[in-house]
Amino acid sequence: MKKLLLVTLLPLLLATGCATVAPWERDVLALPAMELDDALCQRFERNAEVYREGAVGANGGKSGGGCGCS
Amino acid sequence: MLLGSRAIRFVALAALMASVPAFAQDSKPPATVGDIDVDFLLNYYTQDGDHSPVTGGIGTEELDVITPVIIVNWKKGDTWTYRGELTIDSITSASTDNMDLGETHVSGASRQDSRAFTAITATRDLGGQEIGLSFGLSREYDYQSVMAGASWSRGFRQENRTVAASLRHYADTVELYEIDGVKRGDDSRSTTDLSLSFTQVLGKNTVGSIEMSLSSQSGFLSTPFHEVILAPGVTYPDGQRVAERLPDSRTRTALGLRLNHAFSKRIVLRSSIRFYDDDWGVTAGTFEIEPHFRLPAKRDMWIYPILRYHSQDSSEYFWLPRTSIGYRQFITADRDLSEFTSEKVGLGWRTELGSTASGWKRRLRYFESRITNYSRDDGLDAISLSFAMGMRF
Repeated sequence: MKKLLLVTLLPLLLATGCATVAPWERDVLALPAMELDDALCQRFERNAEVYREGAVGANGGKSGGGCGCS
Repeated sequence: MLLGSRAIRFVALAALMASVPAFAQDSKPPATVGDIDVDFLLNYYTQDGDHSPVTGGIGTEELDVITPVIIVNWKKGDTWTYRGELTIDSITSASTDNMDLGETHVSGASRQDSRAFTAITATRDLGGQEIGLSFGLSREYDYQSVMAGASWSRGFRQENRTVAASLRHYADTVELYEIDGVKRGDDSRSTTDLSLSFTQVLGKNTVGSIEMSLSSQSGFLSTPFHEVILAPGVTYPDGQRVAERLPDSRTRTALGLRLNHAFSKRIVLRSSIRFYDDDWGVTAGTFEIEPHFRLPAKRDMWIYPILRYHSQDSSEYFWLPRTSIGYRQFITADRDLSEFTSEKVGLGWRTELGSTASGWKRRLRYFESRITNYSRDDGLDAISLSFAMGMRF
C-alpha cells in the first residue's frame, strides 16, 4: 500500500509547484465538465456499485454504511 | 435472449433520453445570497442475473428500482448554506420474494419494498475555510440507519489548491429475518468513514485530485437471509442450506486519483483510477474515463460516452455453491464478494440553461441525463437511466 501511495502521489506532488492560475484565467477550469465531483445523476450508479461490488470508497461516496449492504 | 432484449431496451431508453427537450440559453451564474436551488432527480435501475445469495448463489437476481430524489440548497447570508435531501427507493425484487417472511408476506411473482432516506447539511464559510455538519436517516423494511458527519476544507494559493477532510458515522439496526423466514430480534452495525482529499490546479486546462478513504465497520455484517449451499453429503444429497456468516469487523482502504484535462473549450477528458484493499481479502482496481464533447449549438450542450472497468479479487470467505465441505466459521456465496471483472458503458448528456428566458423557464438551471449498461463476467447485467433537472428560486 505504501508503494502504491508513493507511485500515485508522486506525480501530482511534483506537479503542484508548477501552477498558480489567476481567477480571471479560469474560464476553461470553470466548465461544468471540469468539475472533479461526480455528475449529480451519477449518484445512482455509485449507489448500485456500492451494492454490487465488494470494493468501494475513494470516489466521493459512502463505503457501505446506512444501507442493507455489508 | 436476455442480453438481446436488454440491448433493445438499452437502445429504446437511449432514444427516450435523446428526445428530452432542451432550452437554448446561456449558463446561469453561481448561487448568490438568498437563492434557493432545487434539484429534481429520477432514476430507473433494472438488473438480472442467476446467482442470488438469497437462494444460495443459484437463483434469480432480478431487481427493478425507481428512485425519485429532491435536493434543496439555500444560501442564507454570506456565510451559511443549508442543504436538504429526500430520497425514496421503490424496489421490486424477484430474489427476495423467495424469502418466507411469515404470515405478513403474500408470495407472488415479485416482492415490493421501499427505502426512504433524508439528510440535512449546514455549511459555514469562514473565509478561505469551510466547515460542515450533516445528519441523516434511512429506513427500509428490515433496516434503519442514523448518520452524523462533519467536513472541513481549506483553499490555498488563490484557491489553486484545496485540502479537505470528512468524517461520517453510521449507526445501523438490522432486523434479523433469517433464512427460515423467522425474525429473531435485531442487531447493530456501525460504519465510520474517513476521507482525506487533495485537489490541485495543474494548469489553465488541467485539474487533479487525490482522495484516500478509510472505512471501519463493526457489528453484524452478514446479511441474515443470505444462504450458502454446502457440498452434497449423505444426509443432504443436494447440499445443506446454511446461513451466510461473516466477521464482525471490516477495515477498508481506498485510494482514488482523478484528472480532468481540457484539450479545448469543446473537448474535456475526465478520468479516474482507484485502488482498493480490505481485511476480508478483497483487492480491486477501477478505471473510468469520460470524454466530454460540446455540441456546436447556440445552447451550452455537452454529450459524452461513459466507460468504466472494474476488476476485483475474491474475499477469502467466498465459496461457490456446493463446494464447501462443512459449515465454516466465515462463509458466503455472495458474488459481490467474489472474483470478477465488470464493464460499464453508457452515454451522458447535459444542457446548461440560462436567465434570458421568460416565465417559468427563467428558473431552469440545467438538464442532465445518463444511461449506462453494467455487465459483470458472472452474468449479472444492469441498466441505469437517470434524469436531473435544476431550478433556482
